Amino acid sequence: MHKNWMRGAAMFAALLCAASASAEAGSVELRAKAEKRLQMLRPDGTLGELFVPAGKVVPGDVVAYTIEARNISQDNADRVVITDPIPEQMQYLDGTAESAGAELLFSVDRGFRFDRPENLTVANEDGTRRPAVAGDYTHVRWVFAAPLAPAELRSVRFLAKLE
Amino acid sequence: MQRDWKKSVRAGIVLASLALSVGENASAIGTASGTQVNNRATVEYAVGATTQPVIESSPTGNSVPGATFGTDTSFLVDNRIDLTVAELSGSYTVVASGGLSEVLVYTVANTGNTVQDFSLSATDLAGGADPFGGTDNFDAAPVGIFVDANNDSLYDAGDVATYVDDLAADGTVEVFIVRNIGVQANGDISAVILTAQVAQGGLVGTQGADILTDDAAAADLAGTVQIVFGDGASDADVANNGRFADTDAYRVGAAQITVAKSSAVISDPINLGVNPKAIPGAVVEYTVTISNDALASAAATNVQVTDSLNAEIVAGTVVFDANGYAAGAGMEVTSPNIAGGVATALTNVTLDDQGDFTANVVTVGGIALNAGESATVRFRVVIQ
Repeated sequence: MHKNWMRGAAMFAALLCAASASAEAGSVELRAKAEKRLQMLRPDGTLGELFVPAGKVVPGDVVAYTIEARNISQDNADRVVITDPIPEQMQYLDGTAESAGAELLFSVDRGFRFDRPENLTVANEDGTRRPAVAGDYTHVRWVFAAPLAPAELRSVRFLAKLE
Repeated sequence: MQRDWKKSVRAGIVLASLALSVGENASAIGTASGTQVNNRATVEYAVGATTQPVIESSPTGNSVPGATFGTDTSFLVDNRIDLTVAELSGSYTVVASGGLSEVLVYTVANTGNTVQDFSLSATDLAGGADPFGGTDNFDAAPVGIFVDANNDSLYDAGDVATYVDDLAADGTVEVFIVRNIGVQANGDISAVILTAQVAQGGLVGTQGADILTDDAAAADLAGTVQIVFGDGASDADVANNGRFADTDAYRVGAAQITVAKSSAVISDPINLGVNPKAIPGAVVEYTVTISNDALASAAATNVQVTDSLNAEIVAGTVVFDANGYAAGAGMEVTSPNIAGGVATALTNVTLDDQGDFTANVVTVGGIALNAGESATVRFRVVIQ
């Protein structure tokens, strides 16, 4: 089988088909949803929030991305790391990522390196570096220390604004 | 085999992220309508000591490892309609009574995220306060509303379009309200509101239909670009209706020039400069002061001062001091628009500067005075 893999494109395609047919589920099911934030003034003067499926979205609107990871296997899933790229048309809203018990890391270089916000810098035009701000983030990452137990569902979330 | 496969998936992900970093520049005013915004999360994990293949997300949940099994969670950017209209001068447009094709200049800006047409209308203020502290008291006769074709802020021959055609997101054009003034008194004011109404864009040279309602009441349609009004309230206009308006005003006016003339004895042959008296041989300086009243509604340009000494010179009572301020310069002007307001000697020769002494007449021209400014012209004679 391994030798077949190394042969020509036709064999590669055939193998891909085989892989699709026998595509086995992993241990974790991952679901991402996008919801638009609606804000309304309650009668008591406080600001209320409501999240609806992201249908009518225009520049300036805030969208919540929720990623749910569920363990569908019989074994613990260890060293769980969830990574979500922030869409290029959107800007991460500072402080909105919920850690859900994970260590929260960000990338400012499209996912090559991840670190805590205080360790991230970006280059100025003159070559010096400045501390990164929320608008520089390209990816959000949640690194869980605790294993994801069978049937356990873990949900993480962040908000971003459509530019 | 499982391992090799995983490696190739990883390589694919790196390539994809490299491709993404090209063309990263965001648009200036907002993401264009119709743009699909995609998001796909990944989870990495291990079972025991064994690292497992990456699993991508889907809107409904995906558990099959590999780059081809995830599905983007996406939405379509809708059309946020937003616009502003602003009169440009920040004050009255001063016109003469009876003036023809007088122009009020406005800007119309598309601050939404889609190319749009804009239809234009003008409404007269029916009396009441204008934006600059006065009171509207007449209506000027409409000539038309035209778009500035070459963006030079001047209403000229090429400016014939009566609606704004295909203004890009973040684009601005100038629009002219053109009117004839009629016979009016100084100080009369005609205030006019320009309203821009957003219309369907995208067809060059064709005026799109006005967009009078948005899809606020309609259900979300995923995969359809819907319209959301986001414009602010403005003059006689509520927010979120696809319209914006601003008021400018004509004011009928003229410059109000006053002239004063004074004289002083500069020296006489006996006392020289100390308390000189007007005796034969004494030098007398005349000062002509021209002022444009602080309440004038127009600047005065090309003001010319002439003072004839012919009668006195012919009668033999005075002689013009042809070298009063310099050799060959018998006049001096102090005007805000000449030499930065510094006193300047002018020659007696015609046409070489603003001054001229010909046929016993002092002439100084080229003086420009805004409201509240003044200028002086000086010349000297010797008493015979």
